[in-house]
Formats: sequence, C-alpha cells, structure tokens
Amino acid sequence: MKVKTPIFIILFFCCAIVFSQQSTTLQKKDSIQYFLKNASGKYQLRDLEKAVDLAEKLEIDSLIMVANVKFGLQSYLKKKTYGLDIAQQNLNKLYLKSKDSFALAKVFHYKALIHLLNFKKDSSLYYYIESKNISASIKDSLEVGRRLLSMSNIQRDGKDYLGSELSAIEGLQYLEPINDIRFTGNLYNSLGLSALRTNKNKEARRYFNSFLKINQQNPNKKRKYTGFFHFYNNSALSYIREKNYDKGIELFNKALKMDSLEFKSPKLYSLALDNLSSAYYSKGELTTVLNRLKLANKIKTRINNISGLSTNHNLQFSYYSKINDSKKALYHANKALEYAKESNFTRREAIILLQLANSNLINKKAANTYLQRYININDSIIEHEKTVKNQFARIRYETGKKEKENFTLKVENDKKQLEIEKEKQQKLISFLLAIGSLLILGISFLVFKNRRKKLAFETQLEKAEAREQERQQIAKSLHDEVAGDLRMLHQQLEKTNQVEVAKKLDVVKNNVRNLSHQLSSVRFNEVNFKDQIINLISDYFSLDCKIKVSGLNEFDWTNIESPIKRTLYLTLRESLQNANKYAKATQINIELNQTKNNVYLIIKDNGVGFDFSERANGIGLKNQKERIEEINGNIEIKSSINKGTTIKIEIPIHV
Amino acid sequence: MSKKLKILIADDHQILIDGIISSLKEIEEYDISSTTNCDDAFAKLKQEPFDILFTDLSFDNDTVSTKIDGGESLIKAIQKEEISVKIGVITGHSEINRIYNVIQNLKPSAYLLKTKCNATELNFAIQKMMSNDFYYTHEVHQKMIHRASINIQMDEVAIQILKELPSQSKINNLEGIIKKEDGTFLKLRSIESKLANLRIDLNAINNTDLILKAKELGIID
Repeated sequence: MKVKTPIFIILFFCCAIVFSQQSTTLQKKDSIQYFLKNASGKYQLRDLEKAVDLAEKLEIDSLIMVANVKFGLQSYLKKKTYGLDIAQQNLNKLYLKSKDSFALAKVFHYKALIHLLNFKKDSSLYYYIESKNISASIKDSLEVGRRLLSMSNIQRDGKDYLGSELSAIEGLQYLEPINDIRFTGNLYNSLGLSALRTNKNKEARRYFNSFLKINQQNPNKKRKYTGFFHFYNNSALSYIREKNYDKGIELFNKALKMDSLEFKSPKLYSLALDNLSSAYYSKGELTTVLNRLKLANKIKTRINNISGLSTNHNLQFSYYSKINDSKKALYHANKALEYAKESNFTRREAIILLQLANSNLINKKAANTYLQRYININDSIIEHEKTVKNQFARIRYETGKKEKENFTLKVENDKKQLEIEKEKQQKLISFLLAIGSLLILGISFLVFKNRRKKLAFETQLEKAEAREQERQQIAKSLHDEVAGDLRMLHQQLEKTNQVEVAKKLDVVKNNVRNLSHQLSSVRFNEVNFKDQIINLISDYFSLDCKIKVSGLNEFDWTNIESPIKRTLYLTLRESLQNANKYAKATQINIELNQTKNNVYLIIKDNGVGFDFSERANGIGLKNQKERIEEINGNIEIKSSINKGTTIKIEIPIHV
Repeated sequence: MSKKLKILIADDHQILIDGIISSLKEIEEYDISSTTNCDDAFAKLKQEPFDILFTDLSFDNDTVSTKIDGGESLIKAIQKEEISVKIGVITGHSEINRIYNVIQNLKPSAYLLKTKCNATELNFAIQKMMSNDFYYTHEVHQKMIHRASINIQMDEVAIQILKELPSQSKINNLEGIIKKEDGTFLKLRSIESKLANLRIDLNAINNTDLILKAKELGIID
C-alpha cells in the first residue's frame, strides 16, 4: 500500500491535468459561443472583442471567422473604425493561413466600411468592388448582392445616379435567383431613390411598389416595419416632387400613424414630422408647421440626431423667414449652419447659405458675405462631387475594362485550354498508337521467335527420332545379318569340329547381340512410361539394393514427347546398371519432376563412386549424354570415390 | 482324350522345336506341327484350326522380306484376326520389361522359359491352358510379383491400407483412417477396389493372404 498510494496520487494528478486542460478548452469554446450569442447593449463590443481574442487563442478557424465577422459588423454599426481594423487584420491573417476566399472578401468589405466611416467614398467603393469580385469568384451570391447594394447607396450619395442604378440592377441579378428578400427589397428601394433624385417620379414609385411587395414577405418584423415606413416616406417624397402635396401629405400621415412609431423609432418619426411640415410649408398651409417642427426638434435633440437637427432648423429658418420674424429666422439659420458643419452636411450648409444670401432679412453687405461663402462651398461641393463622380466612373470603367479583359482573356484561355487539351489528346492517342504498335511488333517478334524456336525444337525431336530409327536399324541389321552370318559360320565350324574357333565365334556372336540390344531401345506406344520405369526398377530392386522412386505417380507422362521419355528411360537404365554393377550401391534414390517447361531426373546412389573422366566404362553414359544433348537437355554428373554418385538431368519439354 | 490336341510350335531354332516335340511325346500323344518363321505360322493358323500355339518372341532368321517380325507381332495379328487358338510363349527373354509388356498387352495363356522348361511343366501348362486358366513359369511369376510389390511400395495409399488392415476387424473401419495425398479421407468403395487390385497384383486369395504375401515380400513389416 505504501508504494501504491503515491502512484495513485500521481495518476490522479495526471488525470486532473488532462481533464482540466480539456475542460478549459471546452469552457473557452462555450464562452465564445456565449459572447457571440448574447453580446448586446453597452458591453457588446467588449464582449465580442473577448470572443475574438479567445478564438485566436484556440486557433479554431471557424470560430475565428465567425467572431471577427460579427465583431467587425458591430464595430461598423457603432462607427468604431478601430474594431473594424482589428477584425479586418485578423481576417487577413486567417485568409493567409487558410486561403479561404470568404475571409478575403470580408477583409475588403471591412476596409470599404473603414473608408466609409472616414467619408472616403471613392476608396470605399474601390474596396467594395474588390470584395464583390472575390465573392463572385466563389459564387457567394448573397455577399455579392449585399456589396452591390452598398455600392449603389454610396454612388447615389455621390450623385452618380446612373452608377447607382447599374449596381442595383447587377445586385438584383445575383439576389433574385437565390430568393433573398431583405437585400432584394433594399435594392429596389435604392433604384427608386436614384429615380427620385433624377426626377423620374413615376419610375421611382414603381420601384417603391416592388420594394413594398417584397417587404411584405420579409420575415423579420422590425425590418418589415421600417420597410413600410420607408415606402410611405419615399413615395410621399415622389409626390411632393411632382407638387402633388395632398397625396404626399396623406402618405406622410400614414407613416406617422404607423403603430407606435414615435416609440419604436423616434428618428424616423421626427424625420416624417419634418417632411410633413415641409410639405405643408410648400403647399402654403403654415398653421400646423411650427408645432410639428418643434416636436421634431425636441425628439432630434433627445436622440442627438445632429444632421437631422440641421434640417429641422433649416425648416424653422424658412418658416420664420416666411412670417418675417427675422430674429428667430437668423437664430435658426445659424443653428442649422452649426449643426450642418458638425455633421459634415456640406450640402445643407450650402442650401442655408444660399437661402440667407437671398433673404431680405439682412443687409446687402451681410448677404454678399453669405453669397460668397455659398459660392465657395458650392464650388468645393461641385468640385468634390465631380471628382467623386469621375472616380466612380473611372473605377467603374476600369473594372468594366478589367472584366472585359478578363472575359477576353478567359475566352482566349478557354481556347488555348481547348487547344492544349486537343493537343494532349492527340499526343495521348499517338502515344497509345505508338505503344500499341510497339506492343504488336514486340508480340509478333516474340511469336515469330517462339515459332522459330518451336520449329527448331520440333526438328530436333524429329532428328532425334530419326537417329533413333537409324540406331534401331543398325541394331536390327547387327542382330539379323551379322549375328545370322556368324551363326551360320558357327554351325559350319561345329560341323567341321573346329570347336575352339566355334567357341570364340560364339563369344563374338554374343557380343554382337549385346551390342544390338544396347542399341535397341523401348517403344512407349505399347506400354506406358510409368510401367516401363517400374519394370526397370523391378529389374534392379533387391533386398541388397533398395530403390526409392518419387514423382512417377504424381505427374502425367502421357503428353511428354517419346524421345524425351526414351532418353529418361535409357539414362535411368544405364545409371541403374552402373550403380548396381560397378558402384555396388545398396540404396538408390530416383527423383522425377516436371515443371511447366522442363522435366528433371535425379539419380543418387550410395555406391563407391568413380572418377568420371578416367572411367573406361563410361561409354554407356557418354551415349546417354549424346542422346540428352540431341534434345537440348543437360546432364550433370557428380561423383567421387566412396561418396556415391549423383546424376542430374534436365530436359526442356517445350521450346 | 477322344481327340488329339493340335499344337503349332513356332521358333527360329529347329533344335528347340525338336526338343519340345520330344518332351511332349514323353507324356501324351499330340498332333504337333512346327515352323521357323512367323509369316508361315500365321498362314498355317489361318488355314487350319489349332488348339494351341507355342511361339518364341524373337526370331533371328527374320529378314527384311518377312511381314511379321516377331512373336509379339504374330500374337497381335492372331488377336486382330480373332483366330481361336490358345497362345503360349516359350522364350529365352526373362527381362521383366519384356515379360511385363507381353503379359500386360497380349495376355498369353502361358509364359514359359526355354532354359527351365521340361516335359512335366510343359504338360502342366497345356492342361491349364485347355481349362481356360493361365500358367506363368515360376521365375516369370516371381518377377511379376516382385514388380507388383515395387509398384505397391510407391503407392502411399496402398501401404496405408496394408498397414492398417491387420488391426481392423472390418474393412468398414478403414473409412476415415486412410488418407489421400491431399489429406482427405478415402471412401469405402475406393478402399475396397484398391484392395481388390492389390489381391490381383500379389496373387492373393483373400485379405489375410494379401497381408501375408505383403509381409513375405517385405512391403510391410
């Protein structure tokens, strides 16, 4: 136990460490999810930044992406370039690491937003275009549509109405096929606004109606609500521009009567109040104007809507001018100028200055100063708008050109690709043809060679057969003619009582007969090879000389050519004779074997052995060697005194 | 015997023919004809019916002109023409190769060796032949059995059967014991046919005799 306890403790600690590590990772993941979901209100950005930091630490790409995208977007909504810059940089790192084009598109998107917050609309537009193009390359239609909507809005603000329309229409081409509601509606609204600014009021209303239709399908209640407001407000503006004040007033009233608009969106409520006042003012009904303007002013002050306040004071200035209250008019004019400057609302500033210059409330000198100021500001505005417009146009032109170039390049590329493909195919075909013909050539060469070899082999076998027949012929004539003649001589000698000579002649006669027997061999068409071999073995098998055979039953010998079988048989006979007669072997092992191409015969004995080169009686084996070599076979004889003899024969079956 | 047996003797050596004739006459009266070449023997057999033909295997006096070039060819020709005659071989060839080939292919009723042949044996052979039996002289018989024993020794399955048979009360018990080369068991029918062949090869009357003979020949211990 004493030994065990520390081990347990160590184990426990190890587990604890491992699990705690795991649990911290899980905790981090959870807290990221928590921050992402629940971040809102005052600490939203702080929480999102924490989520970003945690995600970076965990190095989980998907979490990094989500956290940074959300952080960037909220930073933009809160107009914090700092947060956008962090998000943009993190996403750029992520892109460099993972090569995820979505991240790169977001990088450009956030760069565009940073420039937008810094009032650099041309740079912003440039980055929007970059972002849009990347999203288009990865076929992210939603992102493309959103970017085009932003572009359309920026362009309209820069008075590039044509550009704005074109962007919006392009956006629709991306968004409508994917049945997007929110941004499709906004694009129609944007188109309407562009038409409104160029005094195409009917066209504008058509677009607003399209927007309305889509807006009715909007599942997001809040967005649907503000959508209705914008429809009323923008449609009203279009009527006002046509000097149809009654219709405009009716629509503004509809907007103002929307369910608790004052509480849901004070900003929109005050905007509608201003617009309604302006409409009455333009119509010439001044009675209700001031009350509404004051209410709107109160609300705008409360929500600190500076540019809105500038517009409101401008309207009040107009009102007091109309009723000739110069003191109040000048007060509001100055207030309007102040707010316009504060909110970078140059156009408003110009309008107020022009109004001041033309008013009869002030002396000529003062009016001249205002006029001068107006001219300066207006010039700078026009100059600025011109450059911006030109830049937009240039950017648009260049991107268009680029796209065109890209298109032609693409077409050329495709052509080239096609050609390369074609060439490749042709190459492949010719390569295959070459291989094919080579193969055919090779195969035919092999077939030819094989045939020649086979023919040669067959002729060799035929030759062997012919030689065999020759031998048989010689054996027969030795037996029949020579021995016959000798026998006649023998009989004659016997008759003449020359017994001694007759005896000698008898020996000669027997020798001739033996020679004849040796020359003659066996035929395998009557008795099969297996039986012949057994016959042979049984001739030599005795208790003093045991013969062991293997491979005879295991293989089929019927299809082996006769010359080969004869050679095996005769060699075996010769070897057995030698082993039995001269070597005095007591054990002989015979091993027959067949492979696909060869037959083998191995004969081992435990006899006295001999020196093959010196052996006089080797004539029998020499004969066999000749026979084997006639049919391309090979014989190998190993023998030494007292170590027995091993004979190995290898004969090819086929070519 | 009411009718004299007609015997034809074909041999290239007249001395041998004379010897046989004198031996046969010692025992019984036979109607004996003789010839020294195969063509003539064949012609005689076609002309008139004989009961028995004794022939040599090799005829030294055959020339290029003779159609039938030896005893084997003569027997074949007779069998081909379906001439009814009992055939016995009397020859000097005692090599097992010749013996086996002749007995295996031509199935003569008798195989005798010139050197060992005497009147008694000759007569005994004729008796056997005439009762549709076979007679191979002792040496030939021994050689055939010797050869068979060698053949058996190369047959692993046969050795297994011979070794297992004495320890089993029934042949049926052998099934499931005897294995083929590939390791599978031999069926009872195969075992029985193998035993039958072994009895023929070793000239055994029954299985007990077979085991005795196998032991005698040293095939099994």
